[in-house]
Amino acid sequence: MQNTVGLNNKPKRFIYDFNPEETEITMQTKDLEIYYGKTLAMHNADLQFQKNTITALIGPSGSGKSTFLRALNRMNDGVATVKGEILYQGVDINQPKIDVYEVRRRIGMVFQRPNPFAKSIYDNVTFALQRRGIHDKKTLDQVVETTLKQAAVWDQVKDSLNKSALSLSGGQAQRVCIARALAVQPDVLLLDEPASALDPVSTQQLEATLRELKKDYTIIIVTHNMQQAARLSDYTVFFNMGEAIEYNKTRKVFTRPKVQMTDDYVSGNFG
Amino acid sequence: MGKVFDEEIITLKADFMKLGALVGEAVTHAGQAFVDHDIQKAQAVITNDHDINHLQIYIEKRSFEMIALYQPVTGNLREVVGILKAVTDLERAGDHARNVARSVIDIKGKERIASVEEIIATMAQEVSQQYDKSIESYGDADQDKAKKTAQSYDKKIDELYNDIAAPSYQAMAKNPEIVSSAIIYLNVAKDLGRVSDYSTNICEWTVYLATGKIIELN
Repeated sequence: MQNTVGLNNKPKRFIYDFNPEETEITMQTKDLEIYYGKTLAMHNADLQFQKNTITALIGPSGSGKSTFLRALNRMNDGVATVKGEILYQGVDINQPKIDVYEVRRRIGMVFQRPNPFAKSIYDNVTFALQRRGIHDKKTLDQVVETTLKQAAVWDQVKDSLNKSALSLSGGQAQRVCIARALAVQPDVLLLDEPASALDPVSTQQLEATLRELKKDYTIIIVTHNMQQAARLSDYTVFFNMGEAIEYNKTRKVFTRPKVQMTDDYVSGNFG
Repeated sequence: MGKVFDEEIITLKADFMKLGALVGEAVTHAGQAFVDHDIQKAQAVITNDHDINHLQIYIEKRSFEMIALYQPVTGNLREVVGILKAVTDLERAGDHARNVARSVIDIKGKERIASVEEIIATMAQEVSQQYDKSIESYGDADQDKAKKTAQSYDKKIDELYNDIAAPSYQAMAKNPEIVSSAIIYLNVAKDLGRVSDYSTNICEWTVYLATGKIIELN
């Protein structure tokens, strides 16, 4: 079904094939079908995600990109029915017997609006660890410092770690939320429009943070901002009508997309 | 614009300067080959022209990508657009150097005029210097140097062209045997003149890079 040919000999879909000998694939979806009730919301999205890269998911509202993203760490449980395989390091995590909390520890999620807990910055970052019974102050201090530094917000909050995280600016709060996701040492970071509530300066800082983080993590980001996808990501997936239409290197998608529909969308001639 | 763009523009400019050096070498070697009747050197210039063309295409492709991916504005836009425009001038200057190298092969075994070839030697040296200074001015975004370079060579190069053309025509009128060589001299002088024109264009792009103004320096 993949890479079929449409009008003008341009393909209707194009999905990038990674060379398995040269690339380490962290996550992969196979035969994924996602239903809200009886409505098929997402299908035709056999995608692979390469370790230590940033992949951007773009597409109009309702195209299925957020639905797809949420499936990757089982956030659709109880909301939608997810059929097919979601392979994380070769293991299908879309199995009922899989520990969903362990999945979410390894595959962290950061949301559109910064959602710090009504707790101190320190407790926000250490919340998950404390819940798992880690109370050693030295260990927690270390985690707080490391993750806030990774999220590039340490210098701004190091003197006010006991202040409520709700008092932070949007950009700072979002980076504290990233630190919170990093505290449990995930492999994969999923971000659902993490900059849409931020001003340009905070957005730039967030993007710089993500570029740093990709050295250690595999990052998948949903964004409505095509310039952001262009300047930030290594790979881009274009979704439309619940299907992955084109998946290719970002440079290709924004200069010479294979599929006409992708061309129309990234050029703003869509619909 | 951010660190990634800054890093990429440094690489792009480094590639552009590398192309500048390759073309500079082609111009110098083609002139020397003509003066020294050095077929081997001329052949090397012709062969290396492929590298020049490949690098030019690569630089153009990277420039397009940078515009598409980063949508640069103001000074950043001038960095990319300046390279995109000037890279064409470099490649064409390279083509004319290759033409001079071909002339070295064409003129082999033909009757020659030593006095004209002396002037060609001078013109080749002057054009080579002008080209080098133009590229330097672009590398340093030095508009003063660019303006000075364009203005100081313009008249000199025109005069040298005429100094080659006039005796070539006279020789042709006197001796039909010399026609084919004289035509080659005229072509070489014209090719060198074109390299000089492209050097001036590069100086104009230097002014654009530094100020955003598009001007004619001649």
